[in-house]
Amino acid sequence: MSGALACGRHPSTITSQPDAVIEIAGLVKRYGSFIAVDSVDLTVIRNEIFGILGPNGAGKTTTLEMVEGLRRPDSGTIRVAGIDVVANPTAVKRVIGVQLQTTALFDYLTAWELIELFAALCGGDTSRRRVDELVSMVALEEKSGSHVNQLSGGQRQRLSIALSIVNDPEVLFLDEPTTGLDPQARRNLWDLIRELRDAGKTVVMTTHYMEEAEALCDRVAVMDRGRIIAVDTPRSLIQSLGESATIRARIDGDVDASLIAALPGALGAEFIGGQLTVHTEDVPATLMALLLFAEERRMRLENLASERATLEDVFLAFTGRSLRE
Amino acid sequence: MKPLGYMLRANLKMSFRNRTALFWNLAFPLIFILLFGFLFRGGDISLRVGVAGHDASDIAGSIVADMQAAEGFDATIGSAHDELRALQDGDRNVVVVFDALSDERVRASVYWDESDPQFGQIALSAVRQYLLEANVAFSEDGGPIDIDVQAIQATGIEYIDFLVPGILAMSLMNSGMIGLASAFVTYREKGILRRIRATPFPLSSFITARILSQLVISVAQAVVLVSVGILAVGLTVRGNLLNVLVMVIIGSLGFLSLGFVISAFARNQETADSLANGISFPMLFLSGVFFPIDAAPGWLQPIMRIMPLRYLVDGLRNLMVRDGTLPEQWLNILVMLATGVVGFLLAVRFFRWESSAS
Repeated sequence: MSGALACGRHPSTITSQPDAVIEIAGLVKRYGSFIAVDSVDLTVIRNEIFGILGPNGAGKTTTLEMVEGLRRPDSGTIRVAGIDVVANPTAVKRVIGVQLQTTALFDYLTAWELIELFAALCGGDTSRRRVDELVSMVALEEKSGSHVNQLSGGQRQRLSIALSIVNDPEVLFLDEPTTGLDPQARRNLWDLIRELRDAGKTVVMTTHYMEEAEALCDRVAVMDRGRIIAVDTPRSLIQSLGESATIRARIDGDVDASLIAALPGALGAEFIGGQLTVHTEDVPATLMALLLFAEERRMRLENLASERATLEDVFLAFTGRSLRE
Repeated sequence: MKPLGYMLRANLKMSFRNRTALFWNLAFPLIFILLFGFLFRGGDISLRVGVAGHDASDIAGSIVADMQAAEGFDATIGSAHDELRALQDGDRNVVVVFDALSDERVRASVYWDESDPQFGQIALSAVRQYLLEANVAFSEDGGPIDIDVQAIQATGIEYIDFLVPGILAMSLMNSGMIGLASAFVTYREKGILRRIRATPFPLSSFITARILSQLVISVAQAVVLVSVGILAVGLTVRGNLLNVLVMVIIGSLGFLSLGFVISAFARNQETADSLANGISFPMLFLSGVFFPIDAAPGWLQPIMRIMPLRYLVDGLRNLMVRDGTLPEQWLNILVMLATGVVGFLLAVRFFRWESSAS
């Protein structure tokens, strides 16, 4: 524990927005000399899917756990649905639903029994009708009598989401809900998360999949090394890059990516397993230079293509590094 | 109360669906009891009693005649010298020598073999009990026999009567200490404690639910072991079963608390298991579960005195084999309660939500 005192009783540091359901200001968490979360300010609006996007170790989970009242910040203020989380970490648990990154649950209980148990623990409705309703909401009717270890990864995540909504919470926190799932299971989960938003809930989720943030989130905070580097809708973030785009090509043989990154208009370049990826803010200039570069070295560029920018490029533009490094 | 009830019910469901734990909690001690029960089957122990001085007075003569007729005693009459020699040779479990103090009074000196692990103490107690009853039979207010009355054990004790309280104490220790430690370490390792922490359900209620469900299991163990003992291997319980139940619960609390201490210190399942076994295994052999404590060599006695299990074994045995009362067990009860309180304080002080430091 560092010596810094939590200063959670200074509401003046929070600028209240009418529709804000979560307001975070100056949030800091240190582990020894390592600063896991560095002066984070965030506001989440009621009834949106808010994504925190960043690579592993960016501080997403630590931030989430402080907002959920599971970790005590070194400094900063957090307000969830009007509750001061730092001063009152227990009260907040009644109005939020939480899905943790690890989905381990009690062995020897069925999915149905787990939902009933968590409903009781969270002060929710434990009637048979309500539990059945939750089971069908996450499409686990056929597996309601199965133990956790008999469920697939996707089914387990859906059960885990069912457990997080047993108390009909205002705000739902999902920590990397789709990690490790196959594409079909991931899409099913996206649909479920959209349904929850449409049912009036606010969803805060972390992810390190940029396509997930782009497809699912209404707004995204891009996080890196404990800091929030940008917050906006995925579309605005991408548009902020201007004419930014990605050029891709396959190359036989070896090539020094740093030479290509230095070409006119290029923002960065990677060469992995014969696949060249160049991020650029000026497609014609970079493309022209790349063709000359290849010509001089007698390299063949196969499957040459250019794509519009993605959140991946946003991350690269802000940090100078790729999201998946 | 409602969430606590649901948690308790879930714990019980999980316990009864966990076949491995069920085996160790119920089948394993049952196997012990049945095995020993059948090995010693029909072994209604006829205590070999040597008697001398039957001709010291009329009263002595009539007592000896009664003893010869009594069930459970295999009485041999001889001279004091010969009988004491036979005791030393292991041919007698106990020897009674009568001396006439007056026409109306006799002194009964009872000799027993301290090194006889199985029957020495039992024989001593049985003879004492017999003489005490004989006294009462002679006269309501102080009979003619001068004996030094101390701890009294009932007559006709079989080894199974001695063994079952020991096995019961052993299984209470195992299910309480090992069961609880491994459950909590698993919960922590798998992140289930974190998940519970993310609900409004307080940790104290979570622990209370666990303790209550373990107590239900302990009582179930006691009921099954004692019932099977009575029905299958001829166990005789002389004491009050309600008193036994109270001792079962107090003892379980003590060992549950030790389980919490282990779960607080153990980083993972393996450490928890080896810690629990490291504590329970020596206790099993140093607490008189299988043989009387007095049978152990003198240098071991101080070590045996600090084993919490010994006090649970003693308490259960006194309440089941002898018709002991709860107030008489104050030391055993006190030690188990103290173990519980000290353990609980340690466990609370060193409790961790997560396996990794954070």
